[in-house]
Amino acid sequence: METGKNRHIDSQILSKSNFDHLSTDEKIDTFVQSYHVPQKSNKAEVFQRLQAKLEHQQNEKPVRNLRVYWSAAASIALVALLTTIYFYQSKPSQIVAGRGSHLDYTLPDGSVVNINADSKISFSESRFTKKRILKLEGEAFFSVQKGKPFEVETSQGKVEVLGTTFNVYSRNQDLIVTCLTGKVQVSAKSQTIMIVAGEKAELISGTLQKTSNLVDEKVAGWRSGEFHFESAPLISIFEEIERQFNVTITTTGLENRFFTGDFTNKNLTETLETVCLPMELDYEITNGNQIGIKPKKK
Amino acid sequence: MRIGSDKNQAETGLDQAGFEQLFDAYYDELQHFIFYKSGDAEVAEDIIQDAFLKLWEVRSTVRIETARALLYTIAANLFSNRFKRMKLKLKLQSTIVQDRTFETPEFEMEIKEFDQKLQRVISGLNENCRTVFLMNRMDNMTYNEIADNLSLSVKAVEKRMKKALEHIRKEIDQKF
Repeated sequence: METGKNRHIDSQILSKSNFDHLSTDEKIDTFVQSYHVPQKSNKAEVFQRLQAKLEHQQNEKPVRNLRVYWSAAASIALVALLTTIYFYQSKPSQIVAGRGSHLDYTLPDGSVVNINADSKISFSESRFTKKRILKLEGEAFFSVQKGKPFEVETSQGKVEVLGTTFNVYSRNQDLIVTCLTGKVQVSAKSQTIMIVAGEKAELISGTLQKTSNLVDEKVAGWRSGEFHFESAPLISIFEEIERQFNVTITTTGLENRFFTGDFTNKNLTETLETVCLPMELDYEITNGNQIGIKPKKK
Repeated sequence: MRIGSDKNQAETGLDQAGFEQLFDAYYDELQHFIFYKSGDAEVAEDIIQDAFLKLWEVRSTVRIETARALLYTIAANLFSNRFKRMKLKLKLQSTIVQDRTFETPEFEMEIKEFDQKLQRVISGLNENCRTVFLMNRMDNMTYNEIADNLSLSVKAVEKRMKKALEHIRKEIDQKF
């Protein structure tokens, strides 16, 4: 106990005599050992402050979470209403008609677009007033106000008009433009043709062709729920029915068959009868929206 | 004070309970650590509070076994980012000086002079040596512990200790 670096000396009884007997190292040790760090607040107080700050941070988070819920709810609502309302009410740039519904939309220039089921138009509102350009996926009927050139872009080609009414069908590999009034210029695969009222431009296996069969109002009859097909592939008829009634149709053995006729989008079974009866097909509806089609057994 | 590093519990992530446990275990030594650097108890408290806030922000990636060294790193960085190295005067409180009676006024004088001189000398040490020296002598941390906490080698800790002791000895002996 007399010597040794780490011996502890009770500071309270450090007397003159034993202090004088300590070596420098021992004095240093004794003093340093006796030191303690001053504290402004005790540990519990600091922890309380820390806890308060953490809670403050956590209180902010639920707000953020709430916002996530709101936006999730909003998106769900949007998806549900996509068929009837516009994306971004203040600045519509994408207008979608879902499966089983049609949508009429008036563009900023006053031109009217009737959008068929499962189709979408998109455009930039700010730029549209300067240049009338919009994109189309699916089928739509346009009644264009006279004025600057009006362009419809599709994945297969482009339709340019001045002021007219015309129908654009752009699905899968198909592009069919039907002109009802005025003049329409169609470009696709670096080919350009001009069609006038009563004419039809069609992209058939990569070639743009003009067919001048008399087109009547029936082409755009879909706008009032009447569908007219002339020698159309049977499969595309059922695709149209899928879109109009929002159902899923599975077909077997319908390749290379064609259909000419009409149907309406008012009643599903009636429509199925209309197509299946003359084509000698059997249909079966399961779960309300699953339809199986196959040729009648002979 | 060391938080049990359960061998089975090598997973990352810190919950509220683990966080409180860390605070309880390491707040004091961390507050001391920044005090040794800053000489200011309030600055030390603020920095350690912020260090724990930062730890909480990254709690999902924290392993309890490495949290102590991480806290030292965060605290040291917070301190060096906020404060320029400054000349400081440590004001440590000593039970030898306070709350006691002395045999003679001369002895009281001698003790107080020694205390002031020692504190001045310690304050004059460079920050790294001072910190290591006080962690060892005041917080009774072993060289290994200090090395772990400050992410240093034990050799580096020894070197700093040696430098600190030599300096203090030399300065104290000049007068006494």
